[in-house]
Amino acid sequence: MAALIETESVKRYYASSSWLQRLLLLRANEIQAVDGVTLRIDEGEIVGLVGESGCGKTTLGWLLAGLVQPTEGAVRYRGRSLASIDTETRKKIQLLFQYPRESLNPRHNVRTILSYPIRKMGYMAHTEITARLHSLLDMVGLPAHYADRYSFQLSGGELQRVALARTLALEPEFIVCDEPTSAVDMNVKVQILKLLSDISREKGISLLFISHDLSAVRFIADRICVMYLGKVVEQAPARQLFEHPHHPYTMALLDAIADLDPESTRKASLQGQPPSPLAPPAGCRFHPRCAYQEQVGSICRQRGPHLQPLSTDHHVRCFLYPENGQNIALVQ
Amino acid sequence: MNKARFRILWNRFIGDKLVVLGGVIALLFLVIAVFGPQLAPFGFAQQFRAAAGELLPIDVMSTTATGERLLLGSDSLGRDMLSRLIYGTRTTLVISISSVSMATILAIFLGSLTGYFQGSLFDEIVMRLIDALLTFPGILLAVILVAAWGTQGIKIGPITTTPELTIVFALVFTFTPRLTRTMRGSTIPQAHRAYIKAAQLMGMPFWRIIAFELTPNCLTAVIIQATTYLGLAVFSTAGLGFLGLGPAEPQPELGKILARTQEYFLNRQFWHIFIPGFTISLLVFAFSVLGDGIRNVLDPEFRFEEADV
Repeated sequence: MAALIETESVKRYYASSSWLQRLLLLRANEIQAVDGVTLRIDEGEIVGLVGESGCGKTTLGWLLAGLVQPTEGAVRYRGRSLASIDTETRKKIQLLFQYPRESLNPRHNVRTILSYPIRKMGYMAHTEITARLHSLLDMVGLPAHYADRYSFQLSGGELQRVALARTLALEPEFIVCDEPTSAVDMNVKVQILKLLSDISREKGISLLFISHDLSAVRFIADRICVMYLGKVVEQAPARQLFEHPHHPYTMALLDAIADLDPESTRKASLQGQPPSPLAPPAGCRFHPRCAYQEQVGSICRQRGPHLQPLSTDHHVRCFLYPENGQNIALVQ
Repeated sequence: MNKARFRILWNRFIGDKLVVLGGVIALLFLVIAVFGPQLAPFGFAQQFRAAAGELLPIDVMSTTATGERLLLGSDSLGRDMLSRLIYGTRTTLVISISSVSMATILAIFLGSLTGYFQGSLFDEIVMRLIDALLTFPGILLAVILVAAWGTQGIKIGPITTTPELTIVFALVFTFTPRLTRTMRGSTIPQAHRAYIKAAQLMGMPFWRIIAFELTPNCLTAVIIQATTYLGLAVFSTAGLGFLGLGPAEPQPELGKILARTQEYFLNRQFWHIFIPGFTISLLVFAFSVLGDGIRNVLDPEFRFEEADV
């Protein structure tokens, strides 16, 4: 299948010191929010992006949506660089924000919010616009009379539906969902996830589903990327990742879910906080918190591992799997 | 704005008796200004002679040589004080209201653009110019500008502006920098919110984002500041007039009328000074109180009573 959107060792650094600090201390403090990520999303595919807060998953989503420009590397949409793409094509990439109340203008009612993208799709008579508006509201499961409501009259789940309707109005091919379910409660979360998954399958829209919530990602994603401190550490089809996690960080994340299950006998292996992205640890970025670090040896502290294939669709960034996908810790 | 919200704001406004008093006085002045020519008993330049054996200025409630009764007397040139006050109020109000509204519109325009394009070259240039204007303390800038342009009106190509417009421009230069800063300050946090990013992603052109998405959410602070500037504008206009930088004779203006009463300050009719003086004070009081009232309505977290404690 053809890649819809892909990144090629894309990097995004943020300067955290002012120009005066840089001048006086001659030091560039940079946050390496996204540090060399290569990601490929096919047409109609739902990719989950998982990681702790501050690991750079939102920045990666914004890079893909074109909201921020890469410091290095490139984002390509249908083979063309996102930086030089025309505005018509750019509209095919949309973003669903984390906080729907923030993403809708409090001054406008739903009709005004949806009318603009509808009109943007070409000239339409007034009745056609209304018809399209109602069909969009229907698509996201809202009754037609919601068109006259303002954002303060809607609940979190309803707001996220309106926000989704707004992105759908532009008939996108790719939507970045930036933790769209983190601000809503449990039953609404399931509804939104179902809606997203249904619409994606129905219209063949690719999704990048960013979340720290593994159960949500497991529900919706075909393929999952695990990020740690700006780097992708493991990439695999959803089922395979959950059943056979290879990277110690992925294992620890899955253990964290299992911990809530009283039947589980596995112990928590993820300790401490993620290190500051201002000063990432030398070598493998995960080594200070890694349970397997002792077994692998000093190489973890000396240099960073590469993302290497275990099979055609399973990639992992760890010295546990030197060449052939064999776990050296288990071999020992 | 919907009905319920408007009702809440209106109740909050009329709940404060002082504000209502200020509003009524301001409205009264507005009526006087609008219907000035109909209300004034005489023309503002019409001169009267004092009755036989009397000296100019004609005293309050006295009759002239030709038998007209002047309610508030005349100035030292024999012109009816009441008519000049009415026309003067008109001039002062036109200058202050138009200067504040022009400055506010300009500030909304500049502030939203610089706020949206924060950090750009355009932002830097505009804000440094504004910093330069801000180095002059308040009314001094207006004094300098009127003194430089003259009180006869400015020549722009073939057009010569009216003298009033000179003062309006000078006051616009004085008020705009502060208002622009306020507008820019309230625009910047809004410009980084998700609904603006969503509009950008939809391919909305920047002028549409600023005009329809951004600016309506950033107006409260600048409107509050503008209403408090109305009182200051009346004060500044009268101040310029008092310093001899008002519109040229025979055009009346409250500050000019006040300055003319100085002439007989040490004479028998020293209390003449209170007539224009009291008018200016009342006008400034009304606008200041009204401005505070609007501030309390739009920004309920800021209240003078609470702030004073």
